[in-house]
Amino acid sequence: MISKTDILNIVHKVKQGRSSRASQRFVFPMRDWLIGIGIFLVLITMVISYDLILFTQHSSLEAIVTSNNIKGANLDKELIVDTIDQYQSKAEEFSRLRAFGQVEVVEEDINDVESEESVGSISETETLGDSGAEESASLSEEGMFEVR
Amino acid sequence: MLAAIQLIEDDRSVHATSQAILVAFEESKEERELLDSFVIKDDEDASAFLSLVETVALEQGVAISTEKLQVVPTEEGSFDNLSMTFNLQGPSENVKRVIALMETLPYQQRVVELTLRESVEENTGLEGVKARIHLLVSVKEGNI
Repeated sequence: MISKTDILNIVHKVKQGRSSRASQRFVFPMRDWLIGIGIFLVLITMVISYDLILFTQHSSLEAIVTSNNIKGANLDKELIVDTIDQYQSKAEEFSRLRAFGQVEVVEEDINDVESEESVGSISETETLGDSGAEESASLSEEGMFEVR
Repeated sequence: MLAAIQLIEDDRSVHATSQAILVAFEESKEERELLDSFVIKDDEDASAFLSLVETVALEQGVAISTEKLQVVPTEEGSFDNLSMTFNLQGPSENVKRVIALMETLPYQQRVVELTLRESVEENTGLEGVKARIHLLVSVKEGNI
C-alpha cells in the first residue's frame, strides 16, 4: 500500500524533474528577438549608409554636366567669324571693283551689243603667234593660274 | 541601382546636350543667316546669281551670254556644284575687270577655266577681247 510519504516523494521527484528540464531549454524568445532586431538594425544602417554615399556622389549631376563635356554643342565661333570676315571682305572688294568701272547701262546699248553678237560682227585676230590665237588659263588645285 | 543612376546620368547628359545645341543654335542665328546669304540655296538664289553676273557684266560694258549651266553632284559634304560657263565680249580692260569681279563674287565659288582671245570688231575696227569663263559655285545639295 502506498503511504503518504511515498506519495510525497513521487510528487517531489516530479517537481524536481520539471525544474531540471527547465534548466536545459535552449529557446529564449527575448534573447532571440533582441538578436533579430539587432541584425535588422545593422543591415538597415548599412543600406542607409550605402545609399547616403551614392546620394552624395550623384546628387550634383548638374555640376557634372557642363558645357565643356557636352559633345557637338560647342560651336567654333572663331572659325565662323573668320569665315564671315573672309566673305565680307570679298563682298567689299566686289563692291569696290564693281563701282570702279561701272558704266551707265542704257537699254538700247544692251540691244546693240546683243544684235552685234547675233550677227557675229566681232572677228578674232591672232596675236599670240601663228598657233597662239588662243590664250587659255586654268586654275590648278592649289588655286594658281596656269597659262597654256 | 547603379545602372539606374547611370541611366539617369545619361538621360540628363543627353538632355543637357540637346539644350546646349538649342542655345548654340539660337545664339548663332545671326551668323548663320549671314553665312546663308553667301550660299546658293535654291532656284531663286541661282537665278539671282546669274542675274548679278549678267548685270555686273553689262554695267562694265561687256556683252555676256551663258553657254552652259549644269548641276554637278559632289560625293562629299552637303553641297553640289553649279557649273556655269559664260562668254564675254568687250574692251580688254572691261572684260578683265568683269573677270576680276567674277573671281571676287561673294559666294563659295572658283574659276575653273578661263580662255581669252583678242578680237577686232569688223565694222569699227576696235580691238577687244572675247573670254570664256567656267565657274563652279557651291549650291546646297538637292535644292536645285
